[in-house]
Order: sequence, then structure tokens, then C-alpha cells
Amino acid sequence: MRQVKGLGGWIRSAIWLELIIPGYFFGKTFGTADAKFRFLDTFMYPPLFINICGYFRDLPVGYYTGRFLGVLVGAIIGVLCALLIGVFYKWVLKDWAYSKAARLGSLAFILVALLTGFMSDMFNESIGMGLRIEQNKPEELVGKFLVQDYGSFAKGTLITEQNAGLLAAYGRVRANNEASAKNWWIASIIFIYVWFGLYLLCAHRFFKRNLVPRAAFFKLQMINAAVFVIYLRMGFGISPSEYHYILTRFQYLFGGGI
Amino acid sequence: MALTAFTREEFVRHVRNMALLGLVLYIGGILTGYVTNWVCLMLGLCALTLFFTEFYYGRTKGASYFWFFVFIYGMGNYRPFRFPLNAESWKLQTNDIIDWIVGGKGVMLLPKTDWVMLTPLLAYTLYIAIRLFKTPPDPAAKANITVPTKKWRMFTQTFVLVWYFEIFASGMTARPIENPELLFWALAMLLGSLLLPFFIGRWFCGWFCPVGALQDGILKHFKNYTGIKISDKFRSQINRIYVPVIMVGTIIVVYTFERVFQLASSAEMITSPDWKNLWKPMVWTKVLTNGMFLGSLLFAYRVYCRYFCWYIGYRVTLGQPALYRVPFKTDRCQICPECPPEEHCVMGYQFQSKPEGEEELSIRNIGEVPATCTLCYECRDTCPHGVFRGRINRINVIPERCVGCRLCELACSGGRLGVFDPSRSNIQIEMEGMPELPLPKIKDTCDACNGDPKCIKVCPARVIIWDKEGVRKDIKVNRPGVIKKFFRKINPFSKAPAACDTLCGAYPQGCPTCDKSKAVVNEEAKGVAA
Repeated sequence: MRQVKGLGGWIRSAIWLELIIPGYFFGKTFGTADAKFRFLDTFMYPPLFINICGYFRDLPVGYYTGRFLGVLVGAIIGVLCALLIGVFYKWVLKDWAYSKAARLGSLAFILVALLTGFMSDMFNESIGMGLRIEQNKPEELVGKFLVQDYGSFAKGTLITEQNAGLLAAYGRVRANNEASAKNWWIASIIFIYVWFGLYLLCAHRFFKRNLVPRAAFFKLQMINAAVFVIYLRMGFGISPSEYHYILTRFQYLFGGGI
Repeated sequence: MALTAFTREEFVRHVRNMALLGLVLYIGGILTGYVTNWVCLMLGLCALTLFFTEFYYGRTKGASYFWFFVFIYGMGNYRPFRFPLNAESWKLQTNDIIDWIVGGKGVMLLPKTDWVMLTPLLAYTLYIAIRLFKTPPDPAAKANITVPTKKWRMFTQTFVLVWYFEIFASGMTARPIENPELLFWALAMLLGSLLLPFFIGRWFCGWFCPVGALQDGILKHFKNYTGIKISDKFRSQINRIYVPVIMVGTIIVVYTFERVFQLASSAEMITSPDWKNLWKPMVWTKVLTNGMFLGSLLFAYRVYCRYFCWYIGYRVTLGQPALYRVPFKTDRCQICPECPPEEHCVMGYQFQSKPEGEEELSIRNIGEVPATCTLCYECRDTCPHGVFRGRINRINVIPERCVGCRLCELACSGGRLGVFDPSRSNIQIEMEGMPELPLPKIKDTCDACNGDPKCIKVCPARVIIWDKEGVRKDIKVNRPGVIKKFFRKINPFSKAPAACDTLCGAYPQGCPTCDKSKAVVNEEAKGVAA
């Protein structure tokens, strides 16, 4: 057995940290969702994950501690998912160490993980909610209203208009633009499949530069594709409805959706 | 003051004067409440011109346009020309930090006489611009910018820095959409750290980051500055550790305690500068970041970008599966004793050695630079052997190095034809002059073995190099590609023979295949005649 000298041990542990990062990205979103958004988030993520994280988040330990616990549990779920992908990678790369195979799998997965963990979090929570009802937002109505708005553009616009009178008391309400809805919908579909293509292409390059045997490329890509299908089937936030949601926020931000 | 052409010293002196003046005005303006964004922009531009003196002095026309831009921008700050034109929108834009009436808010040294300050400054700016217009480009300064990609990089960095100075000067608010500085970093985060790394890794750091541009400018200005040395082994190892650690640390802190980092705290510090706000984490984050940036200058070039910038965690980790990285063609590397790419590399990579502990994933093994590369392309432009380039189909020679061993002739014929016949090789050593000296000559038929030349590999004196500059541009070897060959093969009306479609140069006396086809044609012609 080769003796590990100097910083070698730290380098080895850094492999595990690299494995944790995508898992953390993937899973922390469940944890960041507080009670206000949890109902909404069940439409984007598996309710089981949301509920597990929500349990820890709602423990009476203070705001930041609860948030920390919720994020931590979400991250653990994400890391477990990454480790599971690693098992399949190890199954294909038989003579590889599990840590290296898992790192490979999880870093290839990082595109999709980031999409869930960062973008949906940022757009939906940080920007989306705040913009939807600009001032004096009624806490009890925000989630409900937005969930109703998820269906389609026409429906969302209709609901917005119907509720405008009710919500007007809380501030200015803006509806989606039905006229340009179709284009944005198409754009969202294109975006999601381009991202899917990018996911596979990046994984291919990643395998190449990590000296993965050529014969294993196809099998690993099949695992990636399967992961993506399962991901969609589980109802993760990458569904077109979320992209509709994200892109309408862009539309709104840049003045096209009023 | 005669409006004559600048000498280099004069140019530097005037730019320095302007920078100093701008700095005094800026600090004085902060203290007295007289801060206009154009002063900040002018300061930034002066600093830039001072940093990239060779670049600007070598391109005097471009520099004069810059100075005219400052002049016009400054003119815009006279009240009649000011944008936005109404006090309300100005108030919104500047978050009520800068008053609509210049000098009206703070204690002015010269109340209601802003023209006293503005006019001489603008006149000075115009003076520099006109003199620069009359100045021809300095060949020495121009020659220093020998790296072709570098000028584009400096241009981009300048553009971003000017933009950044401008938005920095136009006021701050807590909301990202209204605060241009926050919007800038939000875009930098979104594009530079979340989307672009999947395509081109840390390209943002090398080409767009204002902090990186400042380091490029500052450290290049101190020409003899070497900094504190960091060993290559430590550098390569710490890179592998630092990135994941900083990434995990950042995501845990930011996503767990993100509300602690309320951006409003920095805006509060500006709108109501009260010492009680000093405990706010955002303020300390900024203080720490700036301190690390300044402290890192002591060590070496771009140390901040290697070890202190927290964006590196995102960009490097997400850049692991990046679609593109700068290639490293190991077979082209001649292990030169003096390696120009190593000297120029901003990230301090060692291209010739295999770092201990990660031999299998070294640059030489993988054939690509690591994910921490900022894609500045200094290596690509300085390597004489084209190691960092993609496909090069031409080779060239440095005749002074040739010792006349003729190994290249043997390698050429042997590698291409399978026989050691120097007379049939594409490179020939001829003895010329008095006393006779060996002079390698490359035939027009050479196509550098389709990107894998044998002669380069065997030459002990490194005479043969990749012709990355295209010195032998006039020589064109048009070999048909796979698709063209296929269509030629299936096309019954093709005039070109399917078997021989290359200028191989292997048979100076006549190619058997070509002779055969010629003979067939001749026989057909004879038959027709008969």
C-alpha cells in the first residue's frame, strides 16, 4: 500500500467533498423551504422529501438553527442520491474505487443538481415570490395563489384577474401576458431539452478527461439518461411548469409580461 | 502648452496627474458630499490607462477615443446635459446619496461653483485627447503586445472595468434591480458562475472579472516584482484541496445563513454611516475581501484568483465537466529548458512536470489544462511548438539550430512510407554556404503527417517546430477530407482518380498508381485514335 505523504490525505478527502457538492446542491432546496412555501414546493419536489426536511425545519429550536437543520437534512438526502448514482457507476466501472466512481457520477450530475438546487430556489423563492405581490403580501395567500397559477398561462392569467380584486387590498397584482404565453412556453421546452443535451455532452467530456475507459462511456451515459428520466418522473422542479414559471419571471423582470 | 505629439514619458506623466487629481477629487468629494459619478469614472479610466500604458500608448487612437469619452461623459454632468434629466429619477438612481444639485448636499468648499472644478478638468481631458490624436503609435510599446489574444483580453477587461467604475459610481440601493453594482455581480454570478462554466470553465475570470483586470494591471506595472515564492508542489496540491473546501464552506454559509448576509446592511452603511452598523456581516465580508485582495498582491501574480476568491469554488467545481478546455498536445511538447508558457501562465501551472500525488491526472496525461485555468491564452500564444493549439497542419524550421544529423529525413521517409529512403522524404538537409552549413528545407508536399509529424519527435536540436504563425502560409496542401473522398468514390462522373488523390510526394519519379491510371487513359486515347 502506497504511503500517503504531506497533503496527499487532504487531497483524498477533497474527492469526498467534491462528491458532496452536487448532492448538497440537489437536496438543500427541500430544506430551505419554510412552512409558507412548503405546499407550493410539493408540486415541484417529491412530497416525502419536503415533509422530512419540513419536520426538522419546524423543530422549535430557533429560526437559524431550524433552517440549518432543514438544509442539512436536505443535503443528506441529496448526497444519498449522489451516492446511489455512484453505486451504478461503480457497477459499470468495475475496477475503480467506489469514491472515484461516485465522484464521477455526482459531478456529471451537477448540471441537473444545480438546476434544482440553485435556480429553482433562487427564482422561485428569492425573486418569484417577492415580485408576484409586491407590497404587504398576505402570507396565507401567497402559496395558494401561486399554485393556482402553475397550470397554464391562460389559466394563470384568468385566476390572476379573478383574484385581482381580492388581492388588490394587499398591493399591486400583475398577471401573465397571455399574448406571448405560447412563445415563452415553447422557449421553456426548448430550454429544458437543450439543458438535457448539455448534461450528456458535459458528462462525455468529463469521462474523457478523467480517463474513463472508452467502452464504458455508453453505459455511463445510459445511467445518466435513466437518472434524468427518474428525476422527471419523480416530479422534480425541472418540469415545464417550473420553466414556465421561471421564464415568466424573466419576462416580468425585463418588461415583457405585464 | 503646445499641442504636439506625446512622448512616452509625457503620456505617463499626464495620465498620472489625472489619476492623482481624480483621486483627490473623489476623496474630497466623499468628505464634502460632492461626488459625481463622472469623477469616479475618470479616476477609473486614468488608472486603467496607467496600468495598461503600453497597450494604450501603442494604440494612441484608441486611447484618444477613451479620453474623448471621458470628456463627453464629464460634459454630461453639467446640469443642462445631465442624465437623467429630472430630480426624481436621479434621486431614485442614486438612492439619495448624491444630491441633484451638485454640491448642494454636503459642505462645499466652493458652494455653487461646480464649474470651477469641472471646467479645468474637462479642458485637461480634452488637451490629452487632442495630443494623443497627434501622436503616432509607439513601435516599442506596440511590440510589447506581441501576444495576439492579449490585446482582445485587455480590451475586454478595460471595457468591463469602465462599466464597473461607472455603475459603482452611479449609486447603491439594497434591491438588486435598482442597484447597478449588485446587478453586475448578480449577472456575474448567474452567467459567469452558473452557466458559462459548463461551456468554458473560468473564462469569466480571465476576461471579464474586474478584480482580475485590476490585478493584471497592477502587477504588470511592477515589472521587476516577483512576489513571495510558492512551491510548485504546494500549489498543485493546494489547488486540489482548496476548491472543494471553499465550495462546501460557501454553500453551507450562504444557503444556511443567507439572511445574515442581508445586502441591505451595506446599503444602510452608506445611507446612514453610523458606527453601530459596523458589526453587520456584509460590511465585514467586504472588508475581508478587500483585505485579502490587497494582501494577496504580496505573494505573486493573481494569487487572489487562485486561493482567496470564493467564486473559484463555483467556477472550478461546475467547470469540471466543461465542454471546452485549452488543449495540451503532449506529443508536441519539446520540454524546452526555458518554457515561455510557464513564465506567462497567470495561474502558475507547471506544464513540464507531473505533480506528485496526481500523476495520472496531470496536464500531460489528460491532454488538457485543469479546471482552474482562466483561459487567458497566454500559453497558447507564447508556446513556440503550438502545444496549446488544436490542429496545425504546417511545420517550420529554425535553421540556426540544425546540426545536420539527418534523423528527420530518415524519420520522414520511414514514418510515412515504411522505408528509410532520405531521397523520398519531405524534409531535406542541404549543405549551403562557405563553410558549408546544414540547411533543412521542407518540401511543399509536406502536410505535417496529418498532424502527427515524426520529424519533430526525433529532432535532437529542436530545429523543427510547429508553424503556428503561418509563416509558410503560401504553401497549401489540399487533401480531400473523408466526406469528399467518399463522394468522389461513389461519383461515377468524378474526374479525379479514386485511388490517388493526394500529393504524397513519396515517388518523385512517378507514382505507380498514377502511372497506371495515366497508362489506362493513354490506351483509351490510343484506341479512340485507332
